Amino acid sequence: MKRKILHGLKVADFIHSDELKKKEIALNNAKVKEFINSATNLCKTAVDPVTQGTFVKINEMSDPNLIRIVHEVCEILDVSPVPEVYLCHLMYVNISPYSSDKPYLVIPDYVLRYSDEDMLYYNIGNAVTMIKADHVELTTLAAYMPGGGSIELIKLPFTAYLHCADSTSDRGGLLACQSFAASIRNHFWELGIPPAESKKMFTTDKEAEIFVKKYLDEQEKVLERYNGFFTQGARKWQRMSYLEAPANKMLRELFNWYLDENGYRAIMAAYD
Amino acid sequence: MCVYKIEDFQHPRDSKLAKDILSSNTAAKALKEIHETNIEDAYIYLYQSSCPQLTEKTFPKLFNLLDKACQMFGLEKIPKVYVTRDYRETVSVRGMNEPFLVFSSEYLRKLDDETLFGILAGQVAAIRCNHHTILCITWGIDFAAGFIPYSDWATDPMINNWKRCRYFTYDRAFCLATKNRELSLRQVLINVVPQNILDRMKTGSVQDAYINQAKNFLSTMSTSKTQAFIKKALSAYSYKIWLPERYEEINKFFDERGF
Repeated sequence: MKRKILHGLKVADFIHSDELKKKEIALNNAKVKEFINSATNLCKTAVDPVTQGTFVKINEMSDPNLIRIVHEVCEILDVSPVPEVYLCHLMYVNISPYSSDKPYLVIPDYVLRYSDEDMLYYNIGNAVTMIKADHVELTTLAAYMPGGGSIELIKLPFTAYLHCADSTSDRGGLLACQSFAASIRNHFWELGIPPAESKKMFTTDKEAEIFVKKYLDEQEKVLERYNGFFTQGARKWQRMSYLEAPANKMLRELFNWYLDENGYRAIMAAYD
Repeated sequence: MCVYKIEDFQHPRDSKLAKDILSSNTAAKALKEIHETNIEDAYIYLYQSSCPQLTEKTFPKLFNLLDKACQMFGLEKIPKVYVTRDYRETVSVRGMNEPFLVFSSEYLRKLDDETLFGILAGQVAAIRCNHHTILCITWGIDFAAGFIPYSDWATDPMINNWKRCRYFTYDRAFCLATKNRELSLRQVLINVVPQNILDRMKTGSVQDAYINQAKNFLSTMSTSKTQAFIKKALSAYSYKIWLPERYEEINKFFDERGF
């Protein structure tokens, strides 16, 4: 599949409209900023031995195809320098960038085993966008944040920001992959449907569009049926407090941006 | 066939830590409790009731290799073998009076005959070194410690250190069984790197794609105090296995033995 190179692409071209505002709220005072800086430095120091000692660095010799995709994604999204790549053994469907002096990507072997090439473009594009949009320090920190009790309340402004940041990186993934169907296959994988199965449900972007619309409409109907006080409360709490936004919510946001005339289509049209 | 003695393959750090753990009062108490309460039965039951057993009939190739490994490492009774579905796990020796092996099906799928033989040799060596008893005791201690907040901070460092060092013994047995440096190094990475990539990494050759990472890690840990401290703290609190250390130990073992 031939993909457009988006020369000069800026984060501002596709950032979630609330991301900067939420970041400002999360980091609104000097003490919080100071704490974040110290905690981030500590994380950087702590993450490095784990990466070097338990993951395996991949280069052009060991996996030329994977390295080629990473380079191409960086070219499409106009990201430089190209991050290094490490593999880990984990049953997890997302690729994560980690913060160091130079951010790098950590790819679970599970992703390589089950993703097709288009899906890899999306997943790597998503992670590379996190680097491009300066998400990595806060997402690395968030991964190590303790949870439970009142800490959950303190974390709320961060989770609000992280949900917007996730949305931005999903958009970056779609821009890198340039296949709505493959992007959605990644989302459905996160929801539990293996890529080989979702491939049977839709293959083209148009088919994916119809499928996602139907799926989200059905979801809405379920939510309308279960709209009691506690369900609404649980839904709000899930949306507010979970480090990662509910997968359905992320799917809807990406779908809306894909359909929006000023969203994905506008960017792609600008590079015709 | 050459029959190896424990001192041929047990790594000195494994041996020392195992002795320290077994001679501690906590271990003695745990051992007594395990015997008196018959808790071992429950522990074994948990595996036997949820993991299918592999037999000579269903998996003859594995049992032929296991038999050979038992002869080579001086184990009289061939252990039973179970299989479990666990993406993270590899293989482990369980039980106390009658040790048995539990393979992750995901891991077993990745092993060719020669690698499987080396891995089985490692597990037989583990039984010879009494690892199953220590694992059973540490399971008992961990289980009890779970009821006392923060007690794991006191019990974990030595246990975690041993859990890590026991891999050096498995690796030595693998080396002795296969006498193949390339394969011995490759099996360290087999659960992290997919096979097609691992094939291109050329472990043990002059083009070894992992050796530089291993060397950099070991050199950083010996020169940077902060990084060494972080590694020590992580080592105390988890039994994370540092791949470069296993890699280094295997290379040292081959160099010392000259095969």
